[in-house]
Amino acid sequence: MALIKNIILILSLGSAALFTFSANAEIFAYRFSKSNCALKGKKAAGTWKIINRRLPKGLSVFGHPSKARDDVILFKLSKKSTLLFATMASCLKKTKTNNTANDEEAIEEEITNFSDEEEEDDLESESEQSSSSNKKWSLWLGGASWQEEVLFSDGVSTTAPGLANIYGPSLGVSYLRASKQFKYGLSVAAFFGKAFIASSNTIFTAARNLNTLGLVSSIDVFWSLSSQSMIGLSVPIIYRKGKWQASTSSTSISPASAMKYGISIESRLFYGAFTFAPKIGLINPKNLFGHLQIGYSF
Amino acid sequence: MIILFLISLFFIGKEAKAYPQYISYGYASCSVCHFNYFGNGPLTDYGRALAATVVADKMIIRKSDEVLGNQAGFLFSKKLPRWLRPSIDYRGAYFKRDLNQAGIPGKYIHMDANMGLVLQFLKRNKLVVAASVSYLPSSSPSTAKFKNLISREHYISYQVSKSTRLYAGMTDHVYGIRTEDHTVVSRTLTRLRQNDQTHGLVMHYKMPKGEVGAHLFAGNLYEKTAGKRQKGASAMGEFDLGENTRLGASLLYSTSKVSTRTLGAAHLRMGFSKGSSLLAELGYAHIKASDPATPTQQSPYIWLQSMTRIRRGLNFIFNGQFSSAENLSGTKTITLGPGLQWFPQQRIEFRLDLSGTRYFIPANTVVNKDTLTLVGQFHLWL
Repeated sequence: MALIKNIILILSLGSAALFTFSANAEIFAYRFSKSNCALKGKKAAGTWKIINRRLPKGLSVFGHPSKARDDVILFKLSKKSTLLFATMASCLKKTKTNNTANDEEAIEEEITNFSDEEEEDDLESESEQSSSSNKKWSLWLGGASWQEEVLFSDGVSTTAPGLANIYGPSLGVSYLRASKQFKYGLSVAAFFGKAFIASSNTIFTAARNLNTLGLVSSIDVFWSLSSQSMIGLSVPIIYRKGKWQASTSSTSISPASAMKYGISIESRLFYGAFTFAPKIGLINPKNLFGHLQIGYSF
Repeated sequence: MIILFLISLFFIGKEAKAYPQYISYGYASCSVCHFNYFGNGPLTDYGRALAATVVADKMIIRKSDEVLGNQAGFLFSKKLPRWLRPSIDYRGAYFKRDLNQAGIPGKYIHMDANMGLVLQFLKRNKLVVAASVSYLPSSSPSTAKFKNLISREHYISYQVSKSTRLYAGMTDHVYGIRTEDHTVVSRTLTRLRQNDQTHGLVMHYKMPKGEVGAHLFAGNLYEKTAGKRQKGASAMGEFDLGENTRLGASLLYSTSKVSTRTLGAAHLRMGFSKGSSLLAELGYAHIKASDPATPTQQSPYIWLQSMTRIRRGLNFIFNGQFSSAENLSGTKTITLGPGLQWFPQQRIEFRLDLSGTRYFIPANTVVNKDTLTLVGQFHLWL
């Protein structure tokens, strides 16, 4: 214990003393794509091992031998040296594909011209391409939960407000139509759930696991962010029906059916034909509504 | 001696952040951006440059990515010796519970304020020494000798071979998805919270399509009561399922005179195009107390987080959690909520999370109104 503390102490004091003697070291963070000789995108120049072996004398590459690592940062390199590196990165590819060579000038032009705006353009382009081909039907499997205000009654004169936690699986279908950057959708899901209900007055016994059926639907407007993601606003419309009865036969819980609507935020992430779609919002009057779904598009 | 120690603490520290969702940018392994290959802790130069040129917006300093990458260091464009990498990190949070009930005041807390230092030596940074010291608010339980200071990380690591790196010292446990959200169920129910680091030996082994880790630990040696130190072992593996998709599993067993902990989890990280991601951890925590009067915790949990990139630096986050905190038949909790994460510039992060929690209490005769909580975070780092 004391030993560890002392080691830390010595190391930190030593480094503190050297802290003031900082030297200049330039860092260039150019990124190249090995898979794309045009040097667009922000992917790698190859693994550390390959790069290191092929680098001319005097150049150094920061990195570590992690196979998971794609990118490299070039240290202490002038722009000219970086371009040399880029040339080599391209050559690695060309060796395999026999493409015609890009000379240094072309690479320099690519680097100079490359910007985030270009990347954004690529994103938008991807998105539009995706949008233009999107008229999708999807099947959904998920789970929904919301809370409702209810009223307990003994059938004579005593009533008390209560709350119902409703939760359960859903199975549905949706239709999505694209228009440039935006997408419009409609979804309907059958809901097979349970309710857990209790009143604010202990006269009435809480009721658990009461069968509840319903339809959970929504009208959606999405903003397409890329070919694999979008975010949007939804108007959830929920109809549920449950003949809820407390354990004492004289107690009734109303309403037996209800229509709820509200506003929610939804994002969708696409992975091949599959979609992950979390949705959260408020339904009237101010109750939390959540719906998590996994979809399959066809 | 005390003065020397305090001076030294001023120069050591770490950045308490880890963003496993950056698999969406093509970085499946934490080792790309962090000195600690399992994530969390100080950023490498590459991680800093990545934050400046890919993750964060450039609303304040409108310069080219090349310039921003060049200014990503601790002293901006002034370069330090390559072996020296200091850091400073601050994260504060304003939170307000029970938004739907009037009269409950909000509170601002200093979640984390730390200073760190990494020393890297030998060719290819084979040898790394990292340490941190953090300010601990007075309200937090402290095991440190100096009441308001704590070190969450100090270790020496060495690259034994191209595929193996060893660590000795105090680190987070090797287990599960190492998220910066230390209040999520995958960290609270497993007792792997903000200040639950341990001393031990860690091995990181990378493979062509994944990585594995093992951790032998002796508990937090700063814990005053030796009997409370959780000693044990853990292991974690993650494997590529496809491009930007990793499926993993974790196990942990530890014991002390107070309790025995057994954890298991399966986890998934998926990256979507350009910054959108999905993280999921499905786990089970079994914590048996030595005192027979204390009930055994048997907690299944699910943690989900999706991140949708709206534009560079701005992300929409969805958080979903399900857990049973006591046992399988005990109270069940569902927490859902949206959030926004904004990096207007490298070194600055704002985050706003709204979450609703719903309780299912079997023994209770009352259904609680959903609890709404608002958390705003401010994160600054050098």
